[in-house]
Amino acid sequence: MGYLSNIYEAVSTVAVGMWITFKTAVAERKITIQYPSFDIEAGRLKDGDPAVAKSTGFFELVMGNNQDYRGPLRPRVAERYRGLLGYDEAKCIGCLLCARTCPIDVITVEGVKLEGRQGKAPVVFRVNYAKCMFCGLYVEACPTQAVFFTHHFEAAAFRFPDLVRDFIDPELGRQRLAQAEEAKKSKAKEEGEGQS
Amino acid sequence: MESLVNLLLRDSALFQGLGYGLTAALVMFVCGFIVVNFFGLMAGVYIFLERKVAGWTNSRRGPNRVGPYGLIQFVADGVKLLLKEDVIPDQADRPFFRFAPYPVLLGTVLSFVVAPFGPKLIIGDLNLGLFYLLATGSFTVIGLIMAGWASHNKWSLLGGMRSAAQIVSYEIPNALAFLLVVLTAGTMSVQGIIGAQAGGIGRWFVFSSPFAFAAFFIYFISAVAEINRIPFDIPEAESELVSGYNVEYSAMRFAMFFAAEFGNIYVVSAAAVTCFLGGWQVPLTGGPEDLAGLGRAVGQFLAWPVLQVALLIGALACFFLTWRAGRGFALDLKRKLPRFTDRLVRVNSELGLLALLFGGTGLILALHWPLRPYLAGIYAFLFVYLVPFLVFFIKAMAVSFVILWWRWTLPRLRVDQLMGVAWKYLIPIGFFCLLGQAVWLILFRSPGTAG
Repeated sequence: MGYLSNIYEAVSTVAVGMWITFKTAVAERKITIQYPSFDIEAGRLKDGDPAVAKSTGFFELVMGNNQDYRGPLRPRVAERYRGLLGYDEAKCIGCLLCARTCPIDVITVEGVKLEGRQGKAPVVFRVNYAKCMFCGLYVEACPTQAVFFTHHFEAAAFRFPDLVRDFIDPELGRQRLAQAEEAKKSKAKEEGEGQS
Repeated sequence: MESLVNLLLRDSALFQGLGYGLTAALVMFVCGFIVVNFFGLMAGVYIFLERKVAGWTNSRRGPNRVGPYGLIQFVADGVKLLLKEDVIPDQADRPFFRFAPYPVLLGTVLSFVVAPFGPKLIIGDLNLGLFYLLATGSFTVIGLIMAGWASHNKWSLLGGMRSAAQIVSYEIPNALAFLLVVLTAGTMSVQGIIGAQAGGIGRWFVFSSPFAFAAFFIYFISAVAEINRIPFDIPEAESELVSGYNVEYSAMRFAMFFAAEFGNIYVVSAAAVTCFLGGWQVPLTGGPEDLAGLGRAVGQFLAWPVLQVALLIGALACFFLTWRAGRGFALDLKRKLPRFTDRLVRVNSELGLLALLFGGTGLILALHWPLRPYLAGIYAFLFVYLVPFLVFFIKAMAVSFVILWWRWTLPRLRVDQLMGVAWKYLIPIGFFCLLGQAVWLILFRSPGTAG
């Protein structure tokens, strides 16, 4: 009877399998995240994208468009995840340790001496993500914890220059340079007056 | 096709001037063009459906970025494959490597010659129809072995050898199931077989006797095996052989294997529908003569004034929906136009598609009014040509949906299991069914009357 029971087994197991996949296809909630159109950090769809548009009825229902995963993704990123570089401008003393530590010269830092600020005030803090390998040496090197890792990871860009990130507003940098210049001039003036 | 040539020669002075040979060549070319395009389109449709079914069974959505619902994803894929470099391995047997995709594609496309599309719509109603189908089906294996051998790659060779073993084994149950159909119908001609199934669902061969019922499943299983699909896809078992006989292929040559594979799904489903599921026979009606009468009756019924008014109201409703969807589409387009160069922005083309669909339906409904004196004739024509085609197509799609469904349900069979299924189960049962059907026919039907 092994012969007939084999046939029975084959038919019944195939039927069970087909039922399971059918149930999944029809009833299961879709786990897709519509990635580029879905703002992962905000946990909602980005505006201006088709998924935002209201349901168009029958087809949406059939194709299961209305069942996507819609929650935020942030809590799932590990605590010590090495994401994109974060930078706290207020803490930075412009010591250049990070730029020196970096093995591939990803970081460019320039600082000027300013009145009423410890160390130097940074004028430029530029990271070239195109070259960065996220080794984390600069985070260890920083004496004031001005640089750290964030949990962001969406750094993809369509053009190469977009990967270079300026952390300090160029306008602010220019202001500081001018300020420093001013201070230097007035100091030189004072010194000149003192000498004469 | 032959009848079309004769018709043209009889009625048109232009074609009479051309002579028989040229007219036949012209008709052949046009038919070939239509069928090859139909084949390409079907391959695309199956690729789309396959990916959608895969998505659904995996709790995903499937492709949905290119075109409405991802409908033209396969066009994008095809263009990509066209533009890619055609790499030929250094050690490959170049002429064979380059030639191998053609037999595979040819075997599939040739099968479309006997694929029926309706009572009168068939390229060649060969009197050896099913035999021809079997022959073209095994034509593929030449190409597969050629590809496997010429690639100079151990995985390819293994894949080619496996596919040869598999196709040769599964030809037999396949042929046995066909033989049962031929025995019942009394003819090998495809149209003859379908004609023998006229007169309601009970006359379809799959329900005509318990043996034919079993034979349907034998045919279906062996057909799935013959087109190398899961659960019988050991020739291209991804986890063992990378991708089997087509490992070394790229660009358009790979696309040919791919298209043939998916076009084969339609061939196999069409053959299953033809032989067992009544072909283009519309359920609950008799033959094509019935359909013409039915169409005329429907046309006359629709010409009734009350229904005409109802149709016009329906048309208005459709136009209203067209306006709503079209307006939504236009607003969406307008809103996104400033950011059009941003590659993440996509227009909501689903709305456009809906507008087109509603507009088309409304137009058809509205056309009933000016055309009301001719409705009977028009509906008779539609019922003779379009309805059988649609019925056939729907049946074929239902069968191929099961093939797609299996792919995402069942695990792959081992080689010994594969051979076991063919030689220990399908072939003995096939022989038993053949004999049983012969006895059944002697007992329950008078000899000489086919069908």
